[in-house]
Amino acid sequence: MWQDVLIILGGFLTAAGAAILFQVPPKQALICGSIGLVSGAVNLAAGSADVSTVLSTFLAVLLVAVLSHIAARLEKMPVTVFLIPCIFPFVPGAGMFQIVYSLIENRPADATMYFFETIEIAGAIALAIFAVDTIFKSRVNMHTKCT
Amino acid sequence: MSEADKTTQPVPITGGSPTPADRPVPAARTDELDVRLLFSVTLLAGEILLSSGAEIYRVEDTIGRLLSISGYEGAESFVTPSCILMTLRDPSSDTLTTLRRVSVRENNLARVAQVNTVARALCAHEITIETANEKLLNIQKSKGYPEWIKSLLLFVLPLCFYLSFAGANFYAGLICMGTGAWLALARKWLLRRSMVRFFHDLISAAGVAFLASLMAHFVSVDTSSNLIIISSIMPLVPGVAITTAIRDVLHGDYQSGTARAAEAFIIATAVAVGVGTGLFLYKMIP
Repeated sequence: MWQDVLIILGGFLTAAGAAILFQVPPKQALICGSIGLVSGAVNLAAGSADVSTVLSTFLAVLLVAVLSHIAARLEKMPVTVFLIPCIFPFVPGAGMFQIVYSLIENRPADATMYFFETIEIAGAIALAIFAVDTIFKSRVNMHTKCT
Repeated sequence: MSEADKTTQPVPITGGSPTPADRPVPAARTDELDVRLLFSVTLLAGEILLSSGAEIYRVEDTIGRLLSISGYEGAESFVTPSCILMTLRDPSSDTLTTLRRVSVRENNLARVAQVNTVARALCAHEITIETANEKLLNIQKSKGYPEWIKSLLLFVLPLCFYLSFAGANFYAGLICMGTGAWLALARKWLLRRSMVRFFHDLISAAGVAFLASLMAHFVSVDTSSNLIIISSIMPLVPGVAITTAIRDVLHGDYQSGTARAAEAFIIATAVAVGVGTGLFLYKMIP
């Protein structure tokens, strides 16, 4: 129970930390952290429900992207300000490590497996961002037209 | 080819060639608006955006919108991750064209947001071009968070990532702080030597892998050192490059999309080779 709360809190810290690392102003960094909180919860729920990493990443990034777009509308800022820090914790660093580790331990079959898993996770992130961007894009163009 | 194209000048802002005599110049438009100033302000906005890590379509879109204020017939831009090429043409005057190479690139999302605000205000005619110019120059000078905050963040981020992966664990937390300290020190030390990004990431990751394995050997951790290494290399992974590459491709900028995907891949390779080196060094210790 305690550990679960800490894991969700970790989602806040990583997203807010990444935001400040990329020079996002304090207020928006807090918003990024809050989005990270939600994504941490989704990740935790997906982890306990026995879903594959690829699918849980896809769902979590989908939610994160929607929330980032909403935050961008509310704050009247480019969506990148929220999207980049909030996607950051999902980048498959674990996959990258496992590939190298398997190679060092002389297990090439595992390395290949992890390689494809890493590519799949990156693809899932891309697909989720694509989907949400496309939905929001059709609405944006009407509002932000500059005469 | 039209007359206007033939009179294209290579250096628009400082140079000034006479207008073709056979062409009547409508005086009203040039009185209303200093097109050359608008042109240089637009270039400045584009340069700040591009050097702060904005997506290509955002740079091109901003340039297009700002240039459209002039009311000229054609306003076009071609932006790649390392240069801006833009042109403004109209039958009534000379064609303005310029190329700006952008070599310094860092991730500064605050600047992207600020330039966006200024551009919107200028488009809506809420501020004058002179004010916009001043604001943009201020944005370009602004420093953002001080360096020590970045170092502090690199110090604590491994801990945060470990927390988000596996929850709290005292000894693992200690090791994460050790690797975090290495990340912060390595950044400071390598930045002063203006190391290439590839080696910067490689050395940081190698140190992290080596230190984490070594410390995990002495402090008996009940989880493996793998998760600690993963948490510690997370601040180095190419998150920005991946996200921006995806969004560039979505908007049809395949050129910059693939360029940034390659960047992401090379950073990932650097981190991976670094981790491999660190683990290998640890294994060499008898």
